Amino acid sequence: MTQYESRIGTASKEAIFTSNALLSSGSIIAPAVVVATSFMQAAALCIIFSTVTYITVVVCSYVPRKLLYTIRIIIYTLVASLVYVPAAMLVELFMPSYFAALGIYAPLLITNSMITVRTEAKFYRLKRGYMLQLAAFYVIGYDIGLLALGTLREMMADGGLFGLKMLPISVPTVSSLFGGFIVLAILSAGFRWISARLLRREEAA
Amino acid sequence: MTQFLELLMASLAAVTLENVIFTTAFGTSTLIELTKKNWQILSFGGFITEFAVLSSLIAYFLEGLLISWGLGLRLMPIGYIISLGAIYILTLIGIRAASKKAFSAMKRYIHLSAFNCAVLSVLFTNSVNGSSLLDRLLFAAYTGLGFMLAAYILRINYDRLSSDRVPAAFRGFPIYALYIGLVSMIIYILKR
Repeated sequence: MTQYESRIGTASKEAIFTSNALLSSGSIIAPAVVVATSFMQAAALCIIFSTVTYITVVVCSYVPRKLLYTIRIIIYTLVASLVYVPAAMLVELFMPSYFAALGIYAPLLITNSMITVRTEAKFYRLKRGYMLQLAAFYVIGYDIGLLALGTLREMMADGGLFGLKMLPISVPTVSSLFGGFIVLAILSAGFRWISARLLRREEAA
Repeated sequence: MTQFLELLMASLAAVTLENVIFTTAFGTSTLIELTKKNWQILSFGGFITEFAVLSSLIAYFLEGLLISWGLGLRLMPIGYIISLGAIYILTLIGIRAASKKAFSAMKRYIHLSAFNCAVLSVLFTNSVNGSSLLDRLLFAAYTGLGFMLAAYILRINYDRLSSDRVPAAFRGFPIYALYIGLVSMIIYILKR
């Protein structure tokens, strides 16, 4: 394995498994528990989240570190609010009904913790090349968590996916806010249990 | 007196039955982060209330200005960030003037109270509802107080939720999410 491949492997393992933004750290919970009630709804949220977060992280990595921390944080969120405009227009164009269902949870992504916290605490302390890869994996990790949550909730609430009945029963309350919290908690615990087992097995090998 | 009591009851309902965390989930990640220490509930809860109320005031006038210029609601998030940024800077200057010690302790964390879903959601909700200035300020205050109440409710059982008796996979975020989900379910039932 080359050094590059090993670095990619470490970054993806950290961002997708050990420190998954949604399932391990519990970041950016509100849109996940409220609007990720189906696969398509979660997909619409993923597109806006990924576009806004990744472009903001890349653009803001050029903000001089000499600037006051207070000013830097304001610039990060301002850049995010600018990136949000075309991202929202894009999703509204191709997925109008899903975009409408996101309500104010979509624009709230401009202050998500990957932009306001993780940039300063993690990303911008690393070399740019590696940071860009790691940030991409963090975004993908959150997207995977969100899509898994949306799919699971759709399956449980409707008894199937995309209108196809697959399960004999359905639990409509899974689509509610408290249902979102409870399913996310169980999904997160399951994910951590599987991740821990896989890591232990890898260390033993 | 009746009017005062009505206002008191409405305020109580807004903070409990319409609680920002348990009915909308806005700011849940920040809540879990801030509940780790007792002093943070009051100080950061207070700052969240301050940021929500004062930025609502600025956003109200900025919104009118943007609409009169024909820029519409699409660009409002930028207006909200400008409002929040202004209050954030003024707050930091205020803390610095009051105590240098407090300033160095808080400067790295206070942005968590300013730039989070809970505060930003107040500005968005006010715009969507087209509320009057007084209603906006009251809603912002209720949101801040509701956040503090939710933080207190989580804090009450924080030690139990963080204990070693919780199964390893549920320790940390999953058990907090489950707890918030259960409280949220109770509020949902009470409202029916």
